[in-house]
Amino acid sequence: MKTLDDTVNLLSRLPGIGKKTASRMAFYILRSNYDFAEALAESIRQLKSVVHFCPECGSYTETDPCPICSSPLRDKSIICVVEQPQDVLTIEASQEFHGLYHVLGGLISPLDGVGPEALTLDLLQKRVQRLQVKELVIATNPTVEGDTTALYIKKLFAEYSVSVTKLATGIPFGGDLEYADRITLAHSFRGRIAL
Amino acid sequence: MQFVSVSFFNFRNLETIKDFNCNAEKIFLIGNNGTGKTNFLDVLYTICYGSSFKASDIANAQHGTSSWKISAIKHTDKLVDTLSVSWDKETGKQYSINEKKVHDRKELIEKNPVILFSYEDLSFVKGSNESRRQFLDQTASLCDNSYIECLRNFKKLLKLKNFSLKNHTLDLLDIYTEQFSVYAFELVQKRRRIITELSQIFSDTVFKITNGSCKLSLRYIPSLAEASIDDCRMQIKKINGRELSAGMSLKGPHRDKIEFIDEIGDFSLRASMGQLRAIALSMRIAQSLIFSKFHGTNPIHLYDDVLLELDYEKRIQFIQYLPPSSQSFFTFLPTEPYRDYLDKKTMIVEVSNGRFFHRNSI
Repeated sequence: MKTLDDTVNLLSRLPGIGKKTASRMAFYILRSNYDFAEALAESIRQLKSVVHFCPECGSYTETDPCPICSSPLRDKSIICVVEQPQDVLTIEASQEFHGLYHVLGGLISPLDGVGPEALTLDLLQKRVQRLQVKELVIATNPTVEGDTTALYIKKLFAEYSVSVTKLATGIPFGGDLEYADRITLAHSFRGRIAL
Repeated sequence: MQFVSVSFFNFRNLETIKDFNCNAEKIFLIGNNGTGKTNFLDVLYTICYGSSFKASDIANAQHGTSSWKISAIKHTDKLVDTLSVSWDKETGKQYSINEKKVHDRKELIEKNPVILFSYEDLSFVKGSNESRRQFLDQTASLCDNSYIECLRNFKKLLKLKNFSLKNHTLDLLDIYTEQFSVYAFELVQKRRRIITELSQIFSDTVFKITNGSCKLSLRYIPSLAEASIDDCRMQIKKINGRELSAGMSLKGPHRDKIEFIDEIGDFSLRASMGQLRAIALSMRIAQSLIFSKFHGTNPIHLYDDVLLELDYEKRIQFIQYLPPSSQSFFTFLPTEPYRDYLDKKTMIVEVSNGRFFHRNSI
């Protein structure tokens, strides 16, 4: 059945969805009432037409600027720099950070054709100057590319009166040493602090 | 740890077989050249390390086929594990332990230690510094489970730094030099620690194997003197201009040297073929012993034609000094006096045209 096959093929292109799961989803939609299928299709259409990048921070938003950038309650003197929009949601869920965000749109990786010019660094420079930002918190992943990007940002803002900090790495809170992977554990040992 | 059976499908010249019994402490594979003895060893090596010591994945597939699969059942204490590696032209290579997919090859290496004694071992004694570094990296990976990660990160940074040097992206070069220094420092420290341990065991072994005629030790010459990370960075920055002209990194662990020295200097430059072979065997023995020392268990040994070039007396001497193993596989030509090395724990397997037959041992 061409229509069913097309749906399965499209669904299986979603991350984490294989052919079997895609088939199960397609059959579920077939079995459900018409309103559900219509609402799902409309929701996906809306997602693409309404959600867009915030012109300020580069995160996903439905309004310009995004609720975080336009909130008077957020501390505008501190910006957390992340790789992708999903990272904003992850950090927001912690309710620990009350500053602004800046989404880079990737990490420096010249071997993959991503140089510093491909990231939103010029926008970040303008924001830091305009908002008189005092601290940049780099929250890139602890990988070679993440560290390169963090060091590049540190170098870029060396002449600015802004302090550049980086998220700490170590054992997850409430976690069990038994389940910590050895690289994290090794980093935790190297970064141990006095009590 | 001991393999109790092995299965292979479409793997080189080996006839497809399921659950071939190899449940013995010593297994002698007897056959003429080209019959499949070394391929059998490579099946075990590939299962343990995830990659072949002989050929590429595509070359492992039998002529006219586009996939292969090998698996083995292994006993460790009271546990039974099924290890398998499969390759398909479309989907690539996959590893699994007890039918659970293994995502990183290093998980296999940690769980299935195997030491291969091969004719090719001469390459790290008389060959390039790269072969010696590879031997050292393999040894360190067997003993220090954070070594592979450190080596991978270093190699990635070396590639990135070289890219930056070649393309003159100077804004990134400083950053890569900084990251490079961190991993280079860590890697050299780890290598030095392993070399110190390895050298002591190697010296004792080579002395015994050569009946006291070779008094050797290992000398590690790192390309970067590693007083501190900052010191490494300064050394690299000093040669920045030269590196930019060359378009590649000229200093770092990728240029480290390892020498076999006596009181005069690098012995490998003066050694006879027999002495070179004794050094190679001693290095492998040392690799096995250092693994046992670090982990408290013995690895599996694969001996591929290693006795072939030794005279009868040296063979007996070598057999005497074999390090303890949990299981050993040997390949022999039918004309070799393999019966002289048999004991009650030996299983004899005759190999002919990629087929395997059990024979009575003693």
